[in-house]
Amino acid sequence: MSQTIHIFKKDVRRFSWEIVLSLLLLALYGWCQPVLWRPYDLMTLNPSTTTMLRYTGASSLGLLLGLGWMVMVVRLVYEESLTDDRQFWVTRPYRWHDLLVAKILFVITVINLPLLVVQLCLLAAAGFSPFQHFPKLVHLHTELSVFLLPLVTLAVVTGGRRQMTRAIIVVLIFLVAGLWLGQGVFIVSVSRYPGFGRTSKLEWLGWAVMLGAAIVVIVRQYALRKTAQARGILLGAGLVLALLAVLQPKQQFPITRYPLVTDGGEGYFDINMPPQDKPHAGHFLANGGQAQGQRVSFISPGFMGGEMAEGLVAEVEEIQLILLASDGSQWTSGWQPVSAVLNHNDSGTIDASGQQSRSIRTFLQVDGKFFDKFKDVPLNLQVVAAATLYRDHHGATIVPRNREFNISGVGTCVVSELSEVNIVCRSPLTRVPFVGVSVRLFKDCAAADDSNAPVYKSYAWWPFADRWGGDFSFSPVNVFSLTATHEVEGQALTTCAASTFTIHQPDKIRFFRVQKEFSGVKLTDLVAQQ
Amino acid sequence: MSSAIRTENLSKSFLSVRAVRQLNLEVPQGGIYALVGPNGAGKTTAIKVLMNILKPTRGTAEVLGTDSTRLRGDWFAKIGYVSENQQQPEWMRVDQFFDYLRPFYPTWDRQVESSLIRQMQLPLDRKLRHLSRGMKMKAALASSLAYRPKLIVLDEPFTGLDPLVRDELVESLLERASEATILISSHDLAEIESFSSHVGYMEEGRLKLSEEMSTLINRFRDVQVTLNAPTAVPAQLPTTWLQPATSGTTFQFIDSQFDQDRTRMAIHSAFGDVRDVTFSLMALRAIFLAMAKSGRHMD
Repeated sequence: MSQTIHIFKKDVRRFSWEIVLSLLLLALYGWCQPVLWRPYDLMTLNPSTTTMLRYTGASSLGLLLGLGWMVMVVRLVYEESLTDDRQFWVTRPYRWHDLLVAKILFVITVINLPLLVVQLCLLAAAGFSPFQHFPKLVHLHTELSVFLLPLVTLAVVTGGRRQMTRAIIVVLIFLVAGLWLGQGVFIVSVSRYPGFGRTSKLEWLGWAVMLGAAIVVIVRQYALRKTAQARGILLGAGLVLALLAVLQPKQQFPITRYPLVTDGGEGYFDINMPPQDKPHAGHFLANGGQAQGQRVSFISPGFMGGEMAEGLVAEVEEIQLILLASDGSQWTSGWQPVSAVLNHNDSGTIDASGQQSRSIRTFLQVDGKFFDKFKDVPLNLQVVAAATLYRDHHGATIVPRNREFNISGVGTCVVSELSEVNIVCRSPLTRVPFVGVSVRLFKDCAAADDSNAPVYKSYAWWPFADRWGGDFSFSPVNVFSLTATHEVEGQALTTCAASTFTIHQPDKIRFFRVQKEFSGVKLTDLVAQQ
Repeated sequence: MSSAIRTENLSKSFLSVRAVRQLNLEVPQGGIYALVGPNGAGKTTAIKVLMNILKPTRGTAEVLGTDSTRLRGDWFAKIGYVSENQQQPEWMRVDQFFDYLRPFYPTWDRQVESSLIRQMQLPLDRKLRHLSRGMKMKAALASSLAYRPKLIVLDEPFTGLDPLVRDELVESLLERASEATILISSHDLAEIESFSSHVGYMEEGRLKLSEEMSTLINRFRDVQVTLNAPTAVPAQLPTTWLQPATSGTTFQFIDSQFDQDRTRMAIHSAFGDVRDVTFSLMALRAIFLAMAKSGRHMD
């Protein structure tokens, strides 16, 4: 143990400037973060230089810290390089386990502990109990270690900048090849479908191989310094991962779990083409509508969902478009992720882009050859939308104090002071559930007290329920925005003193899908206006 | 245990390159063994295998009674290893370097340390990276002697050093020679000749000769024979006579198994009566040069 502390002290002295810089950046990061907890417009109302600097720092320092720590950890390993046979320390009485523990101690002391302190302070500053979330912070730090593990693994089998660069290039080629083959599932840990929210057995195996190989290589290198063997183990692990990736079933959306609901069924919503008199409502054009290489890009029409029954909310997750020509030719978009929430809304509010609240948009790329061949030919278009049905569950109507209100089990939200209904919420280390806010809006605040003044209800949803936790960063405070519709008949709506807010935390009922077919659709109409 | 180092058919290959071939080396305890040979002979590789920096491809090596592949951690508290191309923590000052190493060694002697620092005139407040090559080598040697190691292994420690620094290093080394076994490699024979007790000659990965220095010096002589008249060199000469050459009435050769009486008799058998015979002691460098030129084993 004394040798561990001795080596640790030496490393602290070696990296003293880097440590000071890291601590300064971390303190700066902690100081900047709270500006993200307020709507951006609140800052623009008072755009002091300090505020703008804090905003810039909040969005960039995380990356800088991450990169800085990665460099420091690699240099820490290279301080007692495990591959170079000219190192003085290999013929000194170093005990390998003390050396390894000293390095781990350094990472914990110089990276984890200061970060933990800043995170606890941020939680407290955000109004959350720091120690209540301590286990989740520990979990976050474990993930951070896993994030650093591949880099440490490369560092123990390389002996300098040049070798490390080569190793990183090899890993990147491996990843790109995996993605190119469409099998980069657990290699990059981007999984949309396999296991459908749960990690599949093959993915677990992939993770076990990856982490196991990394740990074995690190420990073996410190114990034995057999670099060729260690590189062989990594190569073997890479081959096993490639094999597992091949064995992994092709990513397919589990549509069978989404039973078809027809007109009249619970949750059914109609899908309609956007009205022709509102070009912005749907026919968006990207890349000038010209064939770009082999594909033509466009944003699909804002297919509008019909009125949802009162008390029901649908979160549309995926959409698929199938174009069918009379000669049997077919093009399918495949399942595309969307983020749309359909709710009962009888006040007719629309958002600034002209989209109704009950709209679904997605970015699509049609095969260029198909487009050229059939762009002026009437086609059959089938639209399938997969969604989750919720029963709306809302709390009592509230009036925010100081423009802030709490959502139980989620966090705290701040309402913009501008006419736009922009709500920025923060939550402590939690995946944000399906949550929304409905707001009573007025055309004119002067008339808000008039009981006969028209009142419009606008909904703001977090449409990535359980899929995305908000901004990834070292901050334990997740930030997410609730966007709302805020226009009616071309006139902006606003929140007034009399505006009330209702928090919606719907209960999940089931998955379902709806589909609709349109005939006589021309692709040129879909990618018409510039 | 009579040998501090013993190897048996030790070989080390790097892919198709055989750097060390069936090395059978024995370094007696308490001796100063000079491992010499030209650059690329395999000396450094052999030493790295002995220090467990490299793993042997075949064969075994014992260092201080233990298998060299098991040398790690605390074993190095008994071994001092200094190499010409060793990378030191150059960011440290000399005093920090000593402060850092001290706790690793239970036998570290502060008095020896002070004495070495004084003797080698090491600038404690200078960073290692700012030291000259000679000073770096001195610092490395001092840091490897201060804990009174039982075995001191020096790989080309004098390369590129000026004679004054070299003599200072040798002086420091010899002061501690009575406590330890020393294995020193060099491609410059002159620099190790004066103080080595044993010598081994390596070439192309093989140990061509391993012998006590005094025996080696005693059995080689530069022999000059003055003949009565110019005579052709006999076709059959003793195989122990190296580089025979005639010039007028002078016949010269190097006897690799010198014994005054026996050599005189052999000369008489080859040439009959001769006018004069002189025997000259040879420098180690001249001995190895003769061996290298004749390309024979001389044991």
